Amino acid sequence: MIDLAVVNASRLQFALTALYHFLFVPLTLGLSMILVIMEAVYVMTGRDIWKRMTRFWGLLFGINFAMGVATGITMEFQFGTNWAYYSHYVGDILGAPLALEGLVAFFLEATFVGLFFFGWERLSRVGHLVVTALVALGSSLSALWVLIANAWMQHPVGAQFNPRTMRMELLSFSEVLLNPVAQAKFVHTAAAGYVVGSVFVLAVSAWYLLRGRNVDIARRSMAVAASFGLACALSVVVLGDESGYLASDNQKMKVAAIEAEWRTEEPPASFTVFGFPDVQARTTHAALRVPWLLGLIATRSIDTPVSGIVDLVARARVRIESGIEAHAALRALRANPADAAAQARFAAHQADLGYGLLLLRYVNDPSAATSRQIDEAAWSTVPNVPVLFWSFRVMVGLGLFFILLFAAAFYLSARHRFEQNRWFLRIAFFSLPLPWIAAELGWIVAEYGRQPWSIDGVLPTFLGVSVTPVTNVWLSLAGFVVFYSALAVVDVYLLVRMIRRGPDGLGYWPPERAASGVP
Amino acid sequence: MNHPGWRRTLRRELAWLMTLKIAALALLWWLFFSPAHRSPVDGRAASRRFAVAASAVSAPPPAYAREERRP
Repeated sequence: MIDLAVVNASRLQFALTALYHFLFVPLTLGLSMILVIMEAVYVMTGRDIWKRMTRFWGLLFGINFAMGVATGITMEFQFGTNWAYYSHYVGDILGAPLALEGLVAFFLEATFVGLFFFGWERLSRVGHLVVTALVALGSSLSALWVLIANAWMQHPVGAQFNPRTMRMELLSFSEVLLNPVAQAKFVHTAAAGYVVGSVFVLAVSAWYLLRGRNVDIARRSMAVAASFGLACALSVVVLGDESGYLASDNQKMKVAAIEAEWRTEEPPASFTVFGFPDVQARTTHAALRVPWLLGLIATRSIDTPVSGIVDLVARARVRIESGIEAHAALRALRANPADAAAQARFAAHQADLGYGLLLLRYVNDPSAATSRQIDEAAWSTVPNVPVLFWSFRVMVGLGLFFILLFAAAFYLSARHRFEQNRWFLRIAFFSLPLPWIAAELGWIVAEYGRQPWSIDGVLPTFLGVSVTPVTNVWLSLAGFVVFYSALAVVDVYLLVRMIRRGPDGLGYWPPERAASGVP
Repeated sequence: MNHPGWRRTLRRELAWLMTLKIAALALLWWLFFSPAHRSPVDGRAASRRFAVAASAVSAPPPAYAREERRP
């Protein structure tokens, strides 16, 4: 039997490091695009203030970029240290996009980041703009490759299990690359990152305006953030809807858990805006429902049902029984690969092998599982309903708030009335942490909602961990907490220091250097 | 930047940084990635983990073994 203490500690470690890493990724994505916009205006107008804006926000981008790199590398190492069986099982598929992320995207990004910072006096205006655009492209490509890998975990395509090597093997790289879940996830995640960058610029600029400092730069920065942010906030909702639509087809249990849809309703299903999901009673108390809405969102039709949790558990039970057959056939194949009967039996049931493996949490031999153990395994396919229900609703609520925030900012920017509306500047400033909360909740919905699978329907999470003492995992987790806390202090200190000094107070660029005498 | 000997200072600082970096990497390798900390996994280990290793079979046939050793 697997040591569940190691499983839980490894999951906690990966979740914490991933959530921490994703504090930096969306800001890198968002700021890189905003830098391109600002520098493009500089190249088109030749007005120096846009160059100073690009350099100032670029400095904050640089601090954030370094933190993102430092926290991202450790995650890939965890695949080897804590998730050795997972890496063996799916390395043939996930290895390629993760390697490409490093070789194609990160190298591009890292190389041109250097040119971005040190090339201002050495490159032409257009040349430097191309460099900045390549940094943004590298950031987005980096996200793309990682999300292609993640999308395969949500919706595994283009691969097949090989009983000889006991792992999934790639059949079609193009299927992995063009996985519709990957495309939907990428555009949704990238747009969410652009919202994070826009809120960051909006909030910091609002702080300057409230203090009456760096007013020219702050006004222009707010105008850029308002227009770019509004477009992206609207896109996040549309693209998130597409992501949810795909999940309602590929990951029905995740959608049912997000919506606390315990039983299949007559179509079109109603949407529960508010309520208290009760896992024991399998119902939602004090539910406030909007008729038809879930059916329309999830299926885009009025006659297609949205499967409820109880029905999906019943289907999982059937698949577990089929998975028991697949497991027995695999065992026979491992003993004698030429066993034609076992080959045929395995071919008939191999799609459900992952469901059979779920039983290894309860029994050493799935063929010996009792009816009760099969029931337990079937119910283990339900993720944590209250966490998903509330995470999703808070995320969506924040997404709608961002649309209002940027719409107001856009209106005030068009009317040149930022300073006259200090209430808005305060709201904009205090909105600073909200996009990060939304982004982290989005990942909780995506990843926690996939449980108990590390590869949906293929590999249960508990089977992927390494054989390692639990103390090792706790020690490395403690190391991460200490190291990441120190990095967080340094990061916040540097960002706050740069923001407090502001573009006019840094004295990094020729006009200020000459005026203030700062070396 | 233009004070005399800046190259020597820079070289010394870079040497210190590189030494510290290599030491930190060596420590990380020793703590987490040295052979004592590895969790080697191959087809046979996976078949034991998934409870499909037939106890009667102590070693796979040659064709098996070749594929399992495939990088």
